[in-house]
Amino acid sequence: MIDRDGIHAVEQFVLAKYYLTTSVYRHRVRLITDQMLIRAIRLGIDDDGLENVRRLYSFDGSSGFYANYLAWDDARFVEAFGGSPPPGPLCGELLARLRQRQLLKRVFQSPIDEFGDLGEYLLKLPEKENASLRTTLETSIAGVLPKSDSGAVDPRLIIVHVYTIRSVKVSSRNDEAGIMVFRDQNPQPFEQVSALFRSINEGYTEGYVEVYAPVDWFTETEKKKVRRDLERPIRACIEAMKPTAAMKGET
Amino acid sequence: MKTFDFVQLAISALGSEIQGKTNLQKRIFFLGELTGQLDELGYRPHFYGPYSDDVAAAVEDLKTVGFLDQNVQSSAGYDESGFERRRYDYQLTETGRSVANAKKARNAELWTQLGKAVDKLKSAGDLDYMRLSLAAKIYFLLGKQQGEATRDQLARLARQFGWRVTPKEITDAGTFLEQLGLVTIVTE
Repeated sequence: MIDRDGIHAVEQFVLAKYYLTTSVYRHRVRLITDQMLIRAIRLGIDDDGLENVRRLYSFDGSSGFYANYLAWDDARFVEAFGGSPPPGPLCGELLARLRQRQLLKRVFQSPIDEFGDLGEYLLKLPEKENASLRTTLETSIAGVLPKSDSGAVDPRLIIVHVYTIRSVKVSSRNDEAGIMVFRDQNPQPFEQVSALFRSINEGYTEGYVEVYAPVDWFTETEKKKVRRDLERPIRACIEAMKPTAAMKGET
Repeated sequence: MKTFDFVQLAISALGSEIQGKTNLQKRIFFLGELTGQLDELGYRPHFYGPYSDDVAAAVEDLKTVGFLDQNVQSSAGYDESGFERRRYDYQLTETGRSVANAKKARNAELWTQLGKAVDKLKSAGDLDYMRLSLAAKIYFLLGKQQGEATRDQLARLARQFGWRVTPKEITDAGTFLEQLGLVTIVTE
């Protein structure tokens, strides 16, 4: 419960939280680097077979796990697994890219609701049990990317990423009731007392599917051309995705 | 079954539209209970009765993928209990309905149960959201294992938690729960 005098302060706080989400947490570069780090770890464990990485990220509740975990930090991780030559080629390549600021590029972005009934499966794509479907999709997208001098793009370096942005009104509350304002001896919901928040459409919510890939462009024109050329083929790959029986809830 | 799918099917069973956020939470609570899915839905006690973050998230996800539309129905003022006067209406979109139809076919047994549960809710009185909240609160607090209660017990609960409700509202909520087969009102 807040006092009526605190309404503007809360408005500022909630808007700051919203802008922090849209400008920082959902910033393109931050999304890409995050996904590259996650993929580097996954490839290090699954494909490169790096026992040290597996041990570092396989929580077993033992005191040994904590001791090992605390002995690592970002710098040591990048040094140990992204050095030259790296102990694991795939994990090493992604870490080297991060180090040299050669980030994967966002070659595709689309609102999820443009995919009709596939939308809900796209939303479920990041879940662990749907990893094989995601891999299949990334492999098919690798097939439509332009070949570089070193040959075809490795599908393991393609990342399909799905995320949502909620309305500022939804993100302003933690649950059903939200913040109450003490006014005229009667508590009233903040989002109704605040003129600013009253005018915001809570129905506004967005989800995006994006594809990050190891492609290069050197000018804005080139970037636009690559994205334009890839729009249709990547969209076709996503539309051809076949949800698993488990995703459909079939037993 | 995932909460996302259950919420979509439940809205479909309720006629593809539902008025009010609190109403939606409480109806899905009772539909979950009547179909044996409640434990999967993540309900916890809250101001207006049982509330589920998972259900709220599923509603947001349904909106995100374009399966559900949300519109605001405004009306001036607030009631004395602090309940919402501005109402959020939800409606499955055409895509949402078509996907729900496919899910009905894949979950035929649950769909039948949901249909029966909706009929039960209607025949038990089809309460408005405030009365539904009260019934949900009472049911949640009585504990579903208990099975029976006296009218005095219900009144005590209201006093204990400081709810501003009339004895008639308490009686109505008790009758509603009894008609749903969730509690038995016994005489002391």
